[in-house]
Amino acid sequence: MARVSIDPVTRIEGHLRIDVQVDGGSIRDAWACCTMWRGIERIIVGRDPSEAWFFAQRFCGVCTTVHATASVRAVEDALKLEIPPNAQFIRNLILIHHALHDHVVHFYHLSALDWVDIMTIPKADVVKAASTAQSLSDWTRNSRQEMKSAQDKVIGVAKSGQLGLFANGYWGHPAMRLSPEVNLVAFAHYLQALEFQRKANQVVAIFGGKTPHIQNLTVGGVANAINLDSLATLNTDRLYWIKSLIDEVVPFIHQVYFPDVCVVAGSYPEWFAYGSGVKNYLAVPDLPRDSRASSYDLPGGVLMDAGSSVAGFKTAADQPFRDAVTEDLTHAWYKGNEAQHPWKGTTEAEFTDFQEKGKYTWVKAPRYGGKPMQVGPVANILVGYHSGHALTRKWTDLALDRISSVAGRRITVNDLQSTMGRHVARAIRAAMLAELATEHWTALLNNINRGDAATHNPPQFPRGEIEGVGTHEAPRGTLSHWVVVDRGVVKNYQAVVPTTWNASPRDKDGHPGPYEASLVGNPVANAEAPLEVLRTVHSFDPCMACACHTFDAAGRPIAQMKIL
Amino acid sequence: VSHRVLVAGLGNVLMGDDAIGPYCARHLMAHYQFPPQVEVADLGTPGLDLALHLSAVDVVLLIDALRGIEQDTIAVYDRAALCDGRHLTRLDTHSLAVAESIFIARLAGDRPFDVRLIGLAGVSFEHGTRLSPKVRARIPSLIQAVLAELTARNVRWTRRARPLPLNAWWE
Repeated sequence: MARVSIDPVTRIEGHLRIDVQVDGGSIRDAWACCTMWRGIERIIVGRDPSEAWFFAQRFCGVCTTVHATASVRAVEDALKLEIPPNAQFIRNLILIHHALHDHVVHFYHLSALDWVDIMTIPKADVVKAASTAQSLSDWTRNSRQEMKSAQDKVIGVAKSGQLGLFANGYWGHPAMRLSPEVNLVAFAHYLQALEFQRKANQVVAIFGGKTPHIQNLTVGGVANAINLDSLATLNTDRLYWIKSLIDEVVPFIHQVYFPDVCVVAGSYPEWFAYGSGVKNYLAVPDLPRDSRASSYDLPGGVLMDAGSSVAGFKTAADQPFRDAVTEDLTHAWYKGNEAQHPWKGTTEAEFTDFQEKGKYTWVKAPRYGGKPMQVGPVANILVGYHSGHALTRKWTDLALDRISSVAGRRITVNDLQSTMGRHVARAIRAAMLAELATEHWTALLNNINRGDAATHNPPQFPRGEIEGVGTHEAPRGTLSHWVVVDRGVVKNYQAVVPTTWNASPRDKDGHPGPYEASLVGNPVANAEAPLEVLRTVHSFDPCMACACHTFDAAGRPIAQMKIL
Repeated sequence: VSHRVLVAGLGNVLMGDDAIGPYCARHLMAHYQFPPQVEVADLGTPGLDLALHLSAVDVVLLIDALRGIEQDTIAVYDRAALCDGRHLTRLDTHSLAVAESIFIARLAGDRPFDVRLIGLAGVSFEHGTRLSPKVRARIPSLIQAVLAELTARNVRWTRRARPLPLNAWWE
């Protein structure tokens, strides 16, 4: 039995530590530990609730817009404030493009290197790679020249000896199995992805002002003025500029990202058997279609014990959701042991060092009706699929057909409950969101053309105490912000973020969180190079970023001065 | 010179002196004017998304808080110092994101070709929305160090006769 500690598991941010016990090439037990204090929401207590989102947006530099949105929705929920349809559509378009950007980064830049062996690329046959790529879709940039130029980049990097990002890959690991040609195709798309992320990001920027911090939200709607003929507002030119960007982003998702994930997934079918972990799923509905948020384009609900009957709630405002969420502190470095509802939640540090049977992480243990839940794209897709949501079914069935034909055996919707299933579910979700981008753009334009230019309903704060919850089905899963406002001032504020659900420690009953449970039974061929652990943990897209970001002055400066 | 230049403040404004970068970026916007090819931005803590901002420009000056260096120190790092040996070797992740972002941006489009990080030692990185007094007193020196890097690249900046209000809204 070997005990292995793995520190920089998150390639975005390095505050996650995973401890695993390995026995006979397989993991027996696992512990997820976040090494960074996470009580940042306390900074909002005592402030004006209308400004809370500005601070919430700074919790994490990767998830700025999602925290901003959940925050304004929480205050609107407390006030029972409806927001104009234009504001819903504008917010939805921002959220869709943020998610598209985020999913593409996750696959190509944060996790592809767990599956794609870059160092085989110099051996790839360029002609064969191009024809493989062309067989996957009609994408216009799968030519021999594109493949050759991508291959030359790898050769150049290898020759220079400056491997940079590629210095730490597990190249040549026995668990790497794609052909050099498929590796080359994936890498060519890795390079192209940056360009398309920038276009998705530009949509966010046109609506929201500069990225990464959008400026256009406000409690009650958005601050964008709409006048189709004015130069200073959201006008016809800007709307069609956005449309032209959507028209460039959508093909990248449908013709590049989606087919690439299907090929990688079909080439590693054994990874549909590992990494399921917690099989209770939670997703909140999102992309509201009207001002009261009574109907949504993405359904929500809960699925328990890998079942197929969706229960829970239809809208995020429904009572079951509001009542069911608690956070258990038994194994987290905070004072107290009992499960707390977020409106009554406390965040007082009690650091004890890593104690396997005691407290061992800064992450609280969120529970739904007392049960651990997995959140994220798999929850999203399973909830949609089992509630008969047509768009989810269409893209899921398409993905499963493609994967099955590569794998040479049938991969089913149940197989999505796995390490590889998370990548596939994310690609399905992206394909759906890409389709919805055009729909929401059209809905916005139609609404404006009907003569509706409203974007904002002003909030009014009552004298007494009010409570609200704002939810968003974010790229990493269900996000909820919980606010208590007393006489117009924030009295309590808790953010229950997707990574908290998934990186949750054990609770008072000893039930592990999704990361921990997903690692049990996971293979580990070589404990010194635990690639398989990274595959499973990365599949969740961990983001521990709600933290500090100084530059560690370890490198040698070219100039240094002491200020006297 | 028509090189596109990005001057970007990095850091979390909710974490005390980690706000050095954003604060300086906003100080530059309020007190100075720059030619159109120069963009000054408060980018917060963008992780790997930094690559998107880097890949659109030729020259990048990052302003950041430093730790692991003596107080009252300003230091300037070049691309080699930012990138060498910094890939997945440590828990410190922001530096990791800077190195990875530069690597990806250059791999995809050969930009940016000129990168500097200009940093000032922070004192306290506890939760809070104010710079420590000692750091605040050193901000003018850090601003001068950033302007000197611009001057060295023939970027003509001017001081605003009437400064705009400094929008450090988190304070």
